[in-house]
Amino acid sequence: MEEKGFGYIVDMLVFALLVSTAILLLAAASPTDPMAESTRYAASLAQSTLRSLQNSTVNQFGGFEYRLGAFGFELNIPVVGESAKRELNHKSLAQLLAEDALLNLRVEAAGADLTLLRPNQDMDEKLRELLKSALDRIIGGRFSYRLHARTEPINLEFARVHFETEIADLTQARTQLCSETMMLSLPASQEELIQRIEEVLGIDLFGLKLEACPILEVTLELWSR
Amino acid sequence: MVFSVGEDLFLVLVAVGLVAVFVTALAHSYHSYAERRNASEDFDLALDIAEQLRGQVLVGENGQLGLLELSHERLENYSQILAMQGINLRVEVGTFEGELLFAHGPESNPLEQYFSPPVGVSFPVVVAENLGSANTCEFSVEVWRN
Repeated sequence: MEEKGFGYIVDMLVFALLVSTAILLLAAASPTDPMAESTRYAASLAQSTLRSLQNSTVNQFGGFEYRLGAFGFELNIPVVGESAKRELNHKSLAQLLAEDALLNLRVEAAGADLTLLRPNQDMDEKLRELLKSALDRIIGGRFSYRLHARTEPINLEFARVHFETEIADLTQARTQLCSETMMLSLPASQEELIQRIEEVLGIDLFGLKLEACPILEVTLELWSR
Repeated sequence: MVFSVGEDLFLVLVAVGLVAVFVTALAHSYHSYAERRNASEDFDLALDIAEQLRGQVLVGENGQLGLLELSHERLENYSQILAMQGINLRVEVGTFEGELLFAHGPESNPLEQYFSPPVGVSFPVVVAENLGSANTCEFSVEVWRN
């Protein structure tokens, strides 16, 4: 082979190397960040889901009823009969969550949860099941999720009164994509909320000048799978 | 360079063949890159349109966010605005189990849209029905360019 021919082969190899580099760069380059797209879609889906909780009535998700009870036992006394049963099918999921927050306030003293007489405790458990099935259906396996609802804690000298609940499906969760929050009004004014706390604690809080915020903060996090 | 039947001509053929292979591979890589970029832009467009429909075009008369009022007339007007920009729109509302309850707009044809495939997004909405009742549904928006 002539010397020139050898030079051409070297030129070809350099050319091939440059083209291969260009191909690799193009293959690796992503015009947009796929994570940013997922995050944007997830945020939109989370907003839609929270609005759906506000507007969907419970009867679309199989209805909701519970029985009044105490210390985890239902009132099944014949005298009480059906009057202990509450059917709330006409309410929205968000309304039920707000009602649950008001009826099932928790009291913490010295870091421990005090078990108080909670006639609506059954509501708390059944509502969590209902919300789980509703969220499974609405989010439809697209993302993993965590719904967290909490009220602003009311700190007394001897105890802390608040409501907090969490419904989650994080079994396949990898990365948190978004967190959207909505504020719900509790079905009570500030005065009524303080009265409710007095009922829960069984004491008069008149002299304490408490400031209770009747707002429930509901946060929905979506996680990639 | 003097060509002769033999080594040099063979070398030229190999060189031309190699150049052709590499140029084809480069063109294919660029095409894939452009396709990904277009898909991403179309996804953003579909999401923008879906959010506009959910937040403005189909909001009920009482203005309650998240509660939609399905209207062929409003969707037709909005589709016409998009059509002027060369964008086609199809809206579907169905149950979570997949039953179709409402549809507006032409169906996309996979053969016609070979170079601009349709992109869709879907999310849950609550649709207002007669007598004040409402139904939670899956709202799907599909867009593609002419």
